[in-house]
Amino acid sequence: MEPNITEEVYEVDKLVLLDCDKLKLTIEKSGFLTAEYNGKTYHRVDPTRLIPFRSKTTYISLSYETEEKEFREIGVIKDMAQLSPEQYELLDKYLEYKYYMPEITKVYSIRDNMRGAIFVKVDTTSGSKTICVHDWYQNFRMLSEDYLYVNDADGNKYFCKDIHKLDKKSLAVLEMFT
Amino acid sequence: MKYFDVLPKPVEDALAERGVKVDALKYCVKADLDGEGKYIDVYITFTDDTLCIISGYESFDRPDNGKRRASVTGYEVTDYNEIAIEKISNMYVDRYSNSARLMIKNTAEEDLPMARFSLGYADKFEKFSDRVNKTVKKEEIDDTLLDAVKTHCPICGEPFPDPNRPVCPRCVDRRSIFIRLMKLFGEFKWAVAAILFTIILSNVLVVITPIFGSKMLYDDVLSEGGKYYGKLLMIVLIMIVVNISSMIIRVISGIITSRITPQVTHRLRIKIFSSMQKLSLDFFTNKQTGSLMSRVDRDSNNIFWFFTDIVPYGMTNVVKVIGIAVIMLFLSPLLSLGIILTITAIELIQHRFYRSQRKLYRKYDVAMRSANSVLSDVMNGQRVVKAFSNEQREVKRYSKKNVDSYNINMHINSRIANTIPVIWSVYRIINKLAFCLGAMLVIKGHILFGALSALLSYTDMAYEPINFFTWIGDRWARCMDAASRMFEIMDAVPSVKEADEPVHIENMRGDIELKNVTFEYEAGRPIIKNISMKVNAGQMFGIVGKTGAGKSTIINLMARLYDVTGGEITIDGVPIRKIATADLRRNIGIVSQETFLFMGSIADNIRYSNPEASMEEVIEAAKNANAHEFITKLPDGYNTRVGEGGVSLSGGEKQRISIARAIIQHPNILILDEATASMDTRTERKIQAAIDKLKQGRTIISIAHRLSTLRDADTLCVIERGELKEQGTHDELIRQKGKYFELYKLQADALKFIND
Repeated sequence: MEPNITEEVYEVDKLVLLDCDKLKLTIEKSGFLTAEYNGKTYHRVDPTRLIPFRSKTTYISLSYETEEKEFREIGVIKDMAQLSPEQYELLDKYLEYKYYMPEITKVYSIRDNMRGAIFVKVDTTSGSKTICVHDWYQNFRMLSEDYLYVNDADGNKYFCKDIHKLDKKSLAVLEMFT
Repeated sequence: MKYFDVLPKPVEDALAERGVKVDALKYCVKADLDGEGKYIDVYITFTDDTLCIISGYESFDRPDNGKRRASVTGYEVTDYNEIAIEKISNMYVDRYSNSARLMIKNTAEEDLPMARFSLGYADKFEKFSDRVNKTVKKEEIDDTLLDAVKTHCPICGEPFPDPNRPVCPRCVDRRSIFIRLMKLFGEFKWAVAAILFTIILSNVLVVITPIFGSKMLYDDVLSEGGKYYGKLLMIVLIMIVVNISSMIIRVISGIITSRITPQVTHRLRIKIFSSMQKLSLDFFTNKQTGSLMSRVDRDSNNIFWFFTDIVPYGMTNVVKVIGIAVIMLFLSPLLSLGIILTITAIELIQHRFYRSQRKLYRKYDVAMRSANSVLSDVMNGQRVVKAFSNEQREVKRYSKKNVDSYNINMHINSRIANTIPVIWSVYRIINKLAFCLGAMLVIKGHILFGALSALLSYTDMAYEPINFFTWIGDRWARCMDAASRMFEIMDAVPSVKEADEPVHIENMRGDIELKNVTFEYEAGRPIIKNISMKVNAGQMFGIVGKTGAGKSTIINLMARLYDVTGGEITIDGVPIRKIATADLRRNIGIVSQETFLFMGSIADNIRYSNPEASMEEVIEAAKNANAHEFITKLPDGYNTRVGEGGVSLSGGEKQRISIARAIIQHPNILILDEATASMDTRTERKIQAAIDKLKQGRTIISIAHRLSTLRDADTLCVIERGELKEQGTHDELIRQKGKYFELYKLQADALKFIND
């Protein structure tokens, strides 16, 4: 049995920069984000930082999933500064929640078990923790001159935006591993 | 309660205080974050009637000797909530980038957040949610698949970070690298013993030389009243014999060393390479090629010095230093003591210096790996580099990486250049002071001139072992660093491991079943989600789906290139984890979309799956794969060298060789992953005919974008975002008007466009 063939028109995807004046974001009780734009309401909107390592507030994509779980992008906010202060705060809070990643604020010690795993005792913005990092050459590395990125054995991620701003002792401890 | 996290006694007590029947608790998970992202200890558990969420902070005791982990001694409760199970309609996990939430949908259809946790724990929360949902629906819970997986370390009781790799990083063997390296001596013991013997013998002769050359000559032969006064010829002969013997032994030692050196390097390289080969595919996909090549090459060279320099010369020099010290003490205790103490102090300073130097070597290694990775990256991507005319940019990129290693190397060398001469100058000054002191002692008659002369000879002789200990510290640091990396590879447990008592299946029928299979390459990011399907023996099973849907991952799991992270795969009713790897590989043939040809002839490449195959079989397989024609046109035919440095073949030609390779294997299960993707329609049809022929008596699993390739499939399934969407025959799926219908329609549209 062959299907009826009907012609379908496909459009080439284009970058849609959102007009922040027409955008209204609200947080539902469940914590999901709802967006109203151009008279349409979108539920469970997923904002994404398109350049998370370079900028946290520019190029924010707003997308959602259809019932068939197809990806649909509403558009891209070029700069969150274009939003009203309330909307900015709401989106920023949501993004901070979504991109939750503890920042390392102090490094007490790094113990190398000489089997490719290191145990890093740190203070983070979320509290103190001893992080176990497997294959540290890959998972404990500098993404730039200053930015330290850590991926632990459990799959949790940590960062330090500028290791040179850490105290001297932390820097001395990090020296051998960065 | 066996799964998933252990409920500590203080938490259990806190729950009991709140009226929870702890004996009736079924499963427990621990979340680690509060709403603000701060660390907190949240336990979520349930009975048949109630879901309990208790939040608070754990306190620990100090671990005793021999106990690896501190245990929870207290729990300060900050919050407690209960929800009746009957009010839950669905529990699910809502994933974010680095964290996730445990959510429930209540009977009023409201989504409510229950707990927040680091993304790495998402898998256990998914399993926990599944069990809560089954309890809600009063369905039976099957934990047999969990039983097969060792989730917790038997030593410290902590969960394994990677459930597929039952290795606890906290409890791994921590013997020192040095002891482990010494154990490797077993392999080279005769070689090292021979070197050691000759070196010690030659050094003993060197050490006794000043006794004859100074002490005996001046005090016993030349001095009046000496024991051997006037017997000059005797002493000259003794000195000649001692010197010649020492020289001959040194030559012998050199010959043995030169013969053994290549052997040691060869064995070490093979050791590292074979250790790598035992590891599973994920080890290689996670690492840069340049970095791995550097491990085999540079690390083996650095470790090599341990066997040929550090140990034999180290031991000899220790013996030499002790010998010299004993003789010196015998000649003049006071003067010798001063010299020995000076040497000890210098050694301590050097030790500290090299300990800090080791940090720099590690940094240097990281920088070199990084530079090598760029090198391998650019070499492999030369076609793209040239196409975009980016040669200069790549030169700059490589240059930047090299500058990093250059800077560290400069730092290392400048530290050596600034420190070592100072140490030596101090040593020489002290040596001259000792000479002055000795001369005063001779004048005062405390010691004889011959003894002083011998003493000074020994002080000079001590230069060599001290010098050795000076630079050996440097080599020692490099060697220990390299050895730690070698042991990392040797100790790595393959994530796909053969069962202890594997089931042997000589000839598989080809019944494959996936039961609730889930899989994630990276913790917290599932690629395959709860897929169940059955492939009947002797049938052709087609897998359809968009790019990135997880089709290739499914066949990687079927071939056990990776192990499932949840659920189970069985072949002929036997769990795939229990089947002997050799049987599995022999029975399953794969033609992948990424074809790889090894360096060697075309015939060798076709024979790769069956090295015993005759030339007739090779040609037959090539003909079946429609490769014979283009091979015949090559000047060297089947002897044409392909792979790196060989003849360049097109994508379609490579793929046909890859098909011939699978054909010659005669597998009972043949997996075709976009096997005909790089071919023109005419060639594809020819290959299709070959595959049709192959189908007889075999189970075929085929992935194809072009649905026409799968027109003869007995069963088709549609995969979307790692989930099984549809399954049935072509006609059934068309009738369903679902995903398959949509894909079919798209391709039919394209054809219509061409026909128009």
